Amino acid sequence: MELRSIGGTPSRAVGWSMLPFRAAPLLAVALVLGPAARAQTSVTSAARSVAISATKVASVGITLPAGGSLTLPGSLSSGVNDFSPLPFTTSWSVDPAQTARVSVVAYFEVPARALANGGAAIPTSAVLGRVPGGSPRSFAPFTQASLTASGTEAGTAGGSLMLVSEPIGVDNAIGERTDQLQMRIDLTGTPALPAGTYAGTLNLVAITQ
Amino acid sequence: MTLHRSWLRLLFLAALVAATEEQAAAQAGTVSTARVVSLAATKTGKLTMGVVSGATQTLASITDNTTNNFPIPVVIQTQWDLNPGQTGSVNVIGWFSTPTQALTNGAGTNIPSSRMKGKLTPGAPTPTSYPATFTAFTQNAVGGIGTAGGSLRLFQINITGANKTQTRTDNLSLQLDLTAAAVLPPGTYSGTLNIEAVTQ
Repeated sequence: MELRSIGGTPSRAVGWSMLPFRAAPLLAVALVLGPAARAQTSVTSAARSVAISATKVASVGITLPAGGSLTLPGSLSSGVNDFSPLPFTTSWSVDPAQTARVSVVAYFEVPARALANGGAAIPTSAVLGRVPGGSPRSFAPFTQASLTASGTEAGTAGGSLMLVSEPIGVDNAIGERTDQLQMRIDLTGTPALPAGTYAGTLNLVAITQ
Repeated sequence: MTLHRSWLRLLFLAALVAATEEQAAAQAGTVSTARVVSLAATKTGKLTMGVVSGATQTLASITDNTTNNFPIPVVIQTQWDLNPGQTGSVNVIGWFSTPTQALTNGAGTNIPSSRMKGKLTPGAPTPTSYPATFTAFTQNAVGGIGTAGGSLRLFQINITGANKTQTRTDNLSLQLDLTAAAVLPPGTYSGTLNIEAVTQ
């Protein structure tokens, strides 16, 4: 009773039935906006960063679609002896910013004994090769030096022959090519060899430069 | 005669005293109009998020046409002190600023955010929702945080009185999914994943 005399109009409970009809839309709007008003009190943390780095390592490879065996048809003669062409496929996936070319080098481990038959041997100077679509286009002996790139050596000194040198750019950073290696044993002017089977191993390796 | 006057004075004084007491009583019951002083004290909600470890994610060697998992998780710690009456949920969002270039080698080859995936190994208690399996960063922003098509909600936790104050730690694993993607040129692909917490 004292509060009423001091504070003026006392509060009264308002029943739903006491609301004027025109207040209904306003009440509905208030009910709809209520949750939205609560959602406005958004709090955010500071953003944090995670540095992500993923590296794809460069790769090169060689495959021999027709296998890795070459046998001279007929008998080894004292002149020119040609093997059947050997296809080889070179594939690469390299960073053009770091790779200028992809090369393929073929080599014999021991140049003096490219093919051997016991103590008798055919040196790499008598073994020639060519790649019509690559290099050399004409037969050349396997007497080149090894190829070195970024401290990695491919081939042997005096027993190698570069078969492919593919320039690399943005457009062919990933690619492959198939070439035909034609091998020849040229015994012209060399001393006669003892009869027998002369076998050897030619290594092909691809290297980035 | 003198006696009569004395009695009259006494009566007059008595009447005056009575009248004065009535006025004094009336003055004691007078009050001013009440004035209202509004008091307000707001405690602002607090929400912080930090990367405890794994802020640098490195894949030493990408393999094409398969999934590449980053070796260590991003350990995220989230802390809050919120009013459940004003906060519906806490959300942590991870996003890339440019979805088409989540990672780039700087030479024109980009990896989009659709190739970057995240999976959460949650701490306790388990969130209301989170990516339990590797999920691409292709969602839209949440509460204004993130980018359209380059985001992933790492978790959502509904706020109640029971968890209005909490510190939790979660592990985010990342994956680069190159399944059926074009072969990438070799090189290093770099990018930044942003992580931020927001209430709704």
